[in-house]
Amino acid sequence: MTNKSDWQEAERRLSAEERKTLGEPPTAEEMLAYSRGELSESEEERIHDFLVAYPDLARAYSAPFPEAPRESDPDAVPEDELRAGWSVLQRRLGRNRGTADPRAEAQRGRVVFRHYVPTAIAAALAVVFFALYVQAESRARYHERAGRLPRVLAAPQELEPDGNRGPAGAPTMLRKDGEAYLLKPRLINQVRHPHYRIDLVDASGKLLWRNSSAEPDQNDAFLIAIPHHFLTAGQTYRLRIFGVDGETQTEVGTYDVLAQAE
Amino acid sequence: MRQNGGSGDDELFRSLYTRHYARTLRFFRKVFRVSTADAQELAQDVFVRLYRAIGEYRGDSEWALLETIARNVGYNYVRARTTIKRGAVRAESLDERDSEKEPAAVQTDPVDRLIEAERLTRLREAIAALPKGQRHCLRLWLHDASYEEIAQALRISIEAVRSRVRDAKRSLRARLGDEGVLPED
Repeated sequence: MTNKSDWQEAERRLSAEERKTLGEPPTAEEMLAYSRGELSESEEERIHDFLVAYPDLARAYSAPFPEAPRESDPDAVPEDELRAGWSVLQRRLGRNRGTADPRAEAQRGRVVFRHYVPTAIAAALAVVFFALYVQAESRARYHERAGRLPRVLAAPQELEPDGNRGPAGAPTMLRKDGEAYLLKPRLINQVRHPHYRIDLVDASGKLLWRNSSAEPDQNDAFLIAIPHHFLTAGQTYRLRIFGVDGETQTEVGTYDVLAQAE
Repeated sequence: MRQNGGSGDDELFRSLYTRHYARTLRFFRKVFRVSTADAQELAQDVFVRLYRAIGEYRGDSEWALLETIARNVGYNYVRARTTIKRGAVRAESLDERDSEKEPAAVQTDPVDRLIEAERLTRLREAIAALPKGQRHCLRLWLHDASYEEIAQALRISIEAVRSRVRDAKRSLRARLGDEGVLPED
């Protein structure tokens, strides 16, 4: 009898060969159509080929959703990690700059008119708010239109790794050109790693954003766009780039940056 | 970005995050066998999309919405990783990383290595020669999918899966003799 692990190894080799010829895995839309039975027979067969050659795709499609872990489970999420995740989420949504309590955030900006407010004040406020509303709408329409049109991006700001530029410890001042900070951190004299990960942390070391599938260009540089609202003016941040090889992660460059003060 | 509908949506969103974040994280760890950091990133993607969609789906089952989004994020993740791998070296499934972490027994003797390689080739060719229905079921079974998961993935009944895996094992045994005997479930 042959061990199951040997059969699995043979199967992995077979899958690896097939993946070379199958093309790109189906899109989320195709998978949704497959789950609804909306595809033709030949399209379904194609999806089957992918599900077999990409077992992670098959698991994403059919693995049952696990129950929430209990507190004693090893993969339970501690309260502080849950809060930290919430903060990162708020930043990604561009809603909150570190407010710990999301309920407080939800209340921000809410205007409450009470029945005892004198009519004159209410009317004056209404005029002010109406003017602000018109202005905001106008800006939103402008940005919406601009977002649909071709445009020339500002030249990226090249970043040298810490230790390879100017006075030691001086962060690079970020220019506020265009719609976002367009950054091009370069790696210097580094061996090539199979994967790269980029972290953006604030001055306290708190993780604000992470990308685990970054690929450098032929000049060993990455191109990163950070929306202006994501960084607080006058604050220092650090980009950290890691080379990833399996479970081994090596820091290959750090870049201290300072968001330009208003 | 679509804005959600106000404080009511905010509270619902917060509540969904609090109740389902750990569960979503667990899903990605199980499905992709990735590090906690990568699972966190994927879970974050799910909640960003949920936030954008939450107002449009009021009235539907919130959990069904979250599950659909999580699976979509998973499909995109598989696709993105494949594209990156193609650009870098070659197409590769996430499962290959598992095989790299746990390599098969190392054969130092060149003759042993050759014999082992030939044996794996025989097994691979035997799997490839199976009829399509049997082959698909057996291959997913070899990836440790349950009969229920295989049935759902291939949109067939559990009984059909059971029968095809059984037939596949018989075919392999007939082709390879003792070498083709697979362990039972």
